[in-house]
Amino acid sequence: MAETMMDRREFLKFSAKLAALGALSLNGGFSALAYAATDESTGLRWHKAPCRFCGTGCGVLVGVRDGRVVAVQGDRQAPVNKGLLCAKGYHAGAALYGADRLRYPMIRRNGRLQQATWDEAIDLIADRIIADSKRFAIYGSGQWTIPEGYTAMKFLKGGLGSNEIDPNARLCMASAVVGMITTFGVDEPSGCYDDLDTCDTVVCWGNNWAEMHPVLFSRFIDRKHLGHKIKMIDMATRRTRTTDAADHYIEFQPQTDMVIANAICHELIRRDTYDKEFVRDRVRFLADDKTPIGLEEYKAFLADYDLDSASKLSGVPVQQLSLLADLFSDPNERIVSLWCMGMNQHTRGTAINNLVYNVHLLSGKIGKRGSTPFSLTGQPAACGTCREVGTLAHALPGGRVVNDEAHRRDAERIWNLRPGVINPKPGNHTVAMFKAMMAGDITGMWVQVTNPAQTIPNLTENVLKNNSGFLVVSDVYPTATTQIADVVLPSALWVEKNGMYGNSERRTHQWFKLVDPPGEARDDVWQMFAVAHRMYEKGFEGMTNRDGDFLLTIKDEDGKAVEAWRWEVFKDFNVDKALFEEYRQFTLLKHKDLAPYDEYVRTRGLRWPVVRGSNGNWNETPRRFVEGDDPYVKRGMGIAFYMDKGKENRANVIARPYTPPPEVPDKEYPFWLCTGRVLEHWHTGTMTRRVKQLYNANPRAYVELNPEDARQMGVYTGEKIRIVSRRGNIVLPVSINGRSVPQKGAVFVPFFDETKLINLVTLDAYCPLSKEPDYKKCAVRLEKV
Amino acid sequence: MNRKTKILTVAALYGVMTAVLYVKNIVLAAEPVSLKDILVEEQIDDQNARATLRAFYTAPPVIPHEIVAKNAAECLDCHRDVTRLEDGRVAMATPHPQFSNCMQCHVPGQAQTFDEEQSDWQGLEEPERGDRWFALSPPTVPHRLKLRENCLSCHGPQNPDMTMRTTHPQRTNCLQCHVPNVLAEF
Repeated sequence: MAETMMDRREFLKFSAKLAALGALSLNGGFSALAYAATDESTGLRWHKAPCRFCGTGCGVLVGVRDGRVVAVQGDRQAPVNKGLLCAKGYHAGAALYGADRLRYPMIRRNGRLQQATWDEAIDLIADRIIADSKRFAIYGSGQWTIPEGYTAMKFLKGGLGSNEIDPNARLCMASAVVGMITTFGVDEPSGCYDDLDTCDTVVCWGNNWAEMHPVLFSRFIDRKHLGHKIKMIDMATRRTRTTDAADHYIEFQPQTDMVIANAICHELIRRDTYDKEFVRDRVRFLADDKTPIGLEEYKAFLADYDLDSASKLSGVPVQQLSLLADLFSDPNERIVSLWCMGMNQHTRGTAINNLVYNVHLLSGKIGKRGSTPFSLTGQPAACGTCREVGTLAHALPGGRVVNDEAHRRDAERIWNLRPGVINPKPGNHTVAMFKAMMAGDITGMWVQVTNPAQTIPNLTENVLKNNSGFLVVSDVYPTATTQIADVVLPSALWVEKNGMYGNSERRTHQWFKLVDPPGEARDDVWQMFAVAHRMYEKGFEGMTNRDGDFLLTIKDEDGKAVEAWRWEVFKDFNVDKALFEEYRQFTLLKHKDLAPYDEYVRTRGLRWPVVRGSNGNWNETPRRFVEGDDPYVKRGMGIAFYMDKGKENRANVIARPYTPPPEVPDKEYPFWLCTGRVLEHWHTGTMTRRVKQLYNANPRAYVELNPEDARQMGVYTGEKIRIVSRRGNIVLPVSINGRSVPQKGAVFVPFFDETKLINLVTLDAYCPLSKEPDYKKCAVRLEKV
Repeated sequence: MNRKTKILTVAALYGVMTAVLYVKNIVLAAEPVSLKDILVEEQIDDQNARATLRAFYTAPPVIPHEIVAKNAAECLDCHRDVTRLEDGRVAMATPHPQFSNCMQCHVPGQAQTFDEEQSDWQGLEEPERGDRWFALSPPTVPHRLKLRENCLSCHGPQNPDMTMRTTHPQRTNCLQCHVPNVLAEF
């Protein structure tokens, strides 16, 4: 009887919890509306957040107990990943607890980094910026939250009247941006992940998504279990896990992806299988220099890319090129093209992006359910922060640019600046910025959320040796960059602060701070507020707005200014919300409309443009430019590229010729070198190499060789060889027939290992339009050691 | 027998059965069987051994053996169903065969080169055993069902881990009697 009673009490408690949770679905206790819930079976409180790592933007649930993260799981309510994660995501919580977290500010004195107070550090930085404000740069990140990037922009472009700001995203998606702007007149993919659920075929353009975007990869290939007839074509220079799951592997010579794309277009026109109606109504042809041309001239341009010539240049058999042309010729075939760094880190990165759009535009495979070209991003907010907030040397928020008078006036109005404060001349892009730092043209730099001393191509040693400028680094762990810093600021990481990210499919995510940062570590937003206010106190004019108030003034709901530069105030006030509501005003111009902050709190992200419907709901846009999905497409238009600069709702097919790479293997340096990531590690490994399970899975860098090359050299797995380029060299253990196998005459090295800096070897040549360097191809020779 | 007698007989039988169950319940509850204790202990040992393969409860376990497999098809050669290897080891069946990119979540775990001093991580512990209403009632499921939809891959009759084996494999609708904790299922 007593047991029965207790059970009834338990049951009542259970019912009360049910009621508290609201709508409770049978297969999950987390209601669609709730962003946090308590699980009394484990004493945990679970909160929603986007994953800390890649651009896929998976939804995770973070389990918190006694002020610590103790578990992470996939969020079933998240439409991106539907409950599944990858190894990095599952272990994201452990990335917070590396034993050597930076816990207090440090200042370099007598050549050594020594503990300092926040006040000293803030004061020193403020003084140094005031001393030479126009030559002070901010180098940021695609892992900046939206409010962080926005604050940095306002600080630098509004406060210092300079444009010396660029993000590490320059090194990963600048080509995608310029490609999109030149083809469609506006940035970011029009398709969405849902297309992976309905397409017949995925074509990977040099994209190992089994390791780099594993959750999307499995979202697609798991469809085979449902009996879907799907196929995958892997075009690459290296056999990877993606190849293992592919139906066709098309191996091409580095850089000749351009030839393949043009050859497909050549065949579509030769066979007369291109989508004539779509091309007539929605496409415009442009020459390489962007002068308008007709279809006949475009045909003449393609004459060089017949299957035989293309096969000779690319090394791809005619049959395989034909296979691609067959697929794109079939009007019923739904095709998603995917790419990421393979096409973006390319000395003709912009052009190859344009060329893949050409293929989809000519075949009409865009804006249809399951048919779209889709540019994946590497970082969690490369889209949300770098591309949308526009943390680039030439940009202003919301797709604006500094050299447009009207755009500058907009920003000056929203930021309440004195007219003319914003500088019309773009600043240095990333590679140029570091070169300017070497040359002394930039005298100070603040690096946030990134590790350039490990990632800048061919500059590492120079950066390490000739750091003459004043270098401030905000980070969470000691890195190659903090080693050479003059001031190191300890930052809050992921769920130790409020944040917002924006993923590859235009989805904006929000999360709340769940645990305290360790020691004296503080939010990057606060760090910038504190330095800006110190400069304001010292009378630096730039940090005042038009009314003479502090530039970064934010107000509470009653319109009262909040002293957010004081940590005690900052940590208890939702500064993110205030900044985001201000930033939202920028997003309307290019129809990248964002909803109010609270809409993101109660959802698992929304894809912009998010426009308020007549019923008062904020509606997201799964597919951009598509009638019925995108409210900016007029009724009856079907598909409208409404950001077309020519105002004809057309997209541009641009005749981009193949250009050989700047450095090709020769007698002295006979091998191609390609670099990239692995599944277990995030970028330079500063977080993931501090997680036991991820570290053990892939502890150290290695060099992958083709077995035939290895046989000729007489080396075996585990033996060390030296990789030498014209710029530098590195010794690494050999991996043969391991996880991936490069084509004959090529080697591959992952870049996550801070003890093995492969970027001493890489080339710093970049795309002339996007300024994105090519980490994927340079010539090296191999020496036994 | 008239109607009244029938009712009385049924009521009497019911009373006797209830009394028997009640007494049995008290006896079992008051004097735990020692074999049960041993089994519980073994189960905890096994649970701890499994726990070392995870960063925290619900994290995907790392792969404890050397890997030659390059893709899911090769992993499933052994892990689609329980497979007994020549050396006596037993490969567990995957509880979620609907997913086909195994190494997306399960990463190689053989190398033990990580310096434990480098991390202050303390992950969520494995759950306690399931609840019972009384000794004879079916225990509730103590763990989440997410990615563990196929009960028999761990609790099946071929599982090497004796203590986890179901005593009644002929019953295949597990959740009919063993109810999950829906509040733990996020």
